Amino acid sequence: MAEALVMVALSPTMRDGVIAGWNVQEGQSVRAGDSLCEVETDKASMPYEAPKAGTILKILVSAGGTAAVGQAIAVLGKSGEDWAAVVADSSPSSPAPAIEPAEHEQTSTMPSFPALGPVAAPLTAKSPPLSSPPRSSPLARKLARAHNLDIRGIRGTGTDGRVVARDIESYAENQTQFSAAPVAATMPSQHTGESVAPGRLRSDREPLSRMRSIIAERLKASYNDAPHYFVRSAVDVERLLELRETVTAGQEKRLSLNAFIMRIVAAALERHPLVNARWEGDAIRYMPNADLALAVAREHGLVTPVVRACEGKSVRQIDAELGDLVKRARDGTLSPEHYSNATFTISNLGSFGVEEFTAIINPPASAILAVGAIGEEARVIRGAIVVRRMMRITLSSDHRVIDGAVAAAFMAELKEMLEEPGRVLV
Amino acid sequence: MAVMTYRDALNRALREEMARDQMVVLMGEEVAEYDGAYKVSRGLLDEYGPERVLDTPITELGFTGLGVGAALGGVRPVVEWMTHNFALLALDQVVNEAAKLRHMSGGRLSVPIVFRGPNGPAEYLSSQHSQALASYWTHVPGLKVVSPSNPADAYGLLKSAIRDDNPVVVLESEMLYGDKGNVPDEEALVPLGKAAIVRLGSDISIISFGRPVHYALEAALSLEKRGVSAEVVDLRSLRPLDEGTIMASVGKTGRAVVVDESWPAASVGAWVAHRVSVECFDSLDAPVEFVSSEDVPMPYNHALELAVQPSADKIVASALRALYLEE
Repeated sequence: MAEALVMVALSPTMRDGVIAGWNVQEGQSVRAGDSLCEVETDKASMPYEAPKAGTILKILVSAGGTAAVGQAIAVLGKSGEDWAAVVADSSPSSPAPAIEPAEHEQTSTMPSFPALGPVAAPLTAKSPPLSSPPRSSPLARKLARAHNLDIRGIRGTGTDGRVVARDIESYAENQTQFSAAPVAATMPSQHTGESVAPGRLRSDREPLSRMRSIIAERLKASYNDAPHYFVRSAVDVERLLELRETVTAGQEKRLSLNAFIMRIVAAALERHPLVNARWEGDAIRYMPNADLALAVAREHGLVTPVVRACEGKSVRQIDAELGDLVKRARDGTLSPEHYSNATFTISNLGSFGVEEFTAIINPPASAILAVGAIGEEARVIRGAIVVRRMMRITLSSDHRVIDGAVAAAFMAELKEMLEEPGRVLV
Repeated sequence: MAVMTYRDALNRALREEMARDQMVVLMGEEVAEYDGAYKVSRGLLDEYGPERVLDTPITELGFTGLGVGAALGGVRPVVEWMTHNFALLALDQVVNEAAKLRHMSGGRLSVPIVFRGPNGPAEYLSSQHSQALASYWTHVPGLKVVSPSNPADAYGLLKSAIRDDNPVVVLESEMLYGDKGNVPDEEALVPLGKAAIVRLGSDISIISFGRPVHYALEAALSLEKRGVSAEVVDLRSLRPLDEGTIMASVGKTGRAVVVDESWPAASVGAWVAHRVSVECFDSLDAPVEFVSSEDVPMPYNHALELAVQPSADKIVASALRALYLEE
């Protein structure tokens, strides 16, 4: 008999999931344990495995679409069976089975430092109606109550998909594992009994280095504790690049763009000291210097060396210190005083060609500036279309410390300063 | 502790009870001169004489009624039916007289009688002599019904049955008469109305009585090899039924297979399965499984005869279904 495959809760806090992509097509036959699609949850991306063999009769939620836990995403059955009746059965309150892909809010995607990889996009608040609860054994219901679990999201492995005791038990067990490691990566399918072709990618398990643990801990804490929000600007950097060419003309080594940005950020922070602050639980501490960290990627994880008191240093001085710190970072000879207690951080992925991104705040600072690649764009200036080199910057702020208007004013000032660097630097 | 056969354990119970109480008499077809069709009464005629060990005519209704009358008069008769198949002729005396008289006399009369004999299929006996008729007796309020699966229970239950002041039907098994087992040297009564956990387990409860208990134990061993821990409940008494022990077991395991060698409809097993479904509803992880004989008269062909009865394989299959482990 055809049955609806419903979105299952792949993590304890998951309320809905995004179908990142389907690995199967309508009409395709699948075996139990085959990965049908990838589901992005609030925590991770996980494969959705076929509960049993059959034919995919209908895909109800297409790639990119969102489904609430318990909502039917596809129909599995025998070739030629009527899928529509199954859908009508499983969700009487939603006559139209097809769910359009959810609109993702542009401003709320939240990748982080390159070392951590992007986190799934938050979903729209609209929750499609839940389908009726799956069949379950009385014991399973009793266990679910004992574990305080919603049985609707749990995949049944009993007769015709009945949720039985072992499903609750294994779910509860996974829940424990999840809370121990909330950013669990996609797990290989281990319970299907099917042999899988040997992968060509890495398949080893690498114990965490101390550095990896610290990165994980700190950024998790930051992401969980600091309510992040994001303010973007597109900056015309023609003058900045011209200035950089001018001052380094004839010299063997050009001054790094990051040194210019840091100097100008320091100047903007001088004008907007509310941004140069840290959260202390019962107070906000405003920091007397612009101690600016720069995220530096290394093979085993990023480090954030700090150039102290940039507001009182020249671009050349900052560039020299930065050169030394980056070398130390790559050599692994940084000591704690080189990378701790930044008041603000800059992360620049421009060299990767990334146009724009958002970053996770590097504590104890309350803001981080994500700098994208510079590229030529058509701009309209005084009624004329001109080609300008543009750079996109995105400020992540801790809303506990920095209100939106403060961040906006800072960004406006920073944009202005970056576009007219002579006013700051001369 | 002595090892003895089920047959000898019954014989010992009769001998001890006849020695203890001279009102205990044994009557039935060929129980005296011939030592009983299955030799359960071997030596009793020599020991207690023809006044207490009586050969009767081949008239089940007649000698069963004789026993009921004697019981009303203060004798404690043990009536042997050569098999329960033949006892169908005596139904009226058991159901309408023995089971009713205490109730209908307002408690002034009692019928302290035991009806005993082999029940259920043996081999090569075809449709009329292979019937498992436990539900015929268990159906009737006013009767007690026991079904020992091993020598110690045969000994202890028969002694308790003889001492009980109500009519008690003992379901023996021809196929078990030669089975050997430990029986305590000292007197050891098995109380009526008390089931036994004959194997401890945690994943599934197999509930049976009489001969199929052995299939259940065999099935439990087979399940153990698959990593399933099966508990086996031997009901021993069918009326009164020890619901406490049954429900505690199923409450623990969450799954139940009931095994009864009779036909499925209106059987003791069906009743037990119903009670489990009601009493253990919130503890059940799967519908209660029921293994019975096929719903047909017993075929004479031996392969078919075996095929229609419960077996360890059938119990294993049902258990795996209840555990959602079937292939």
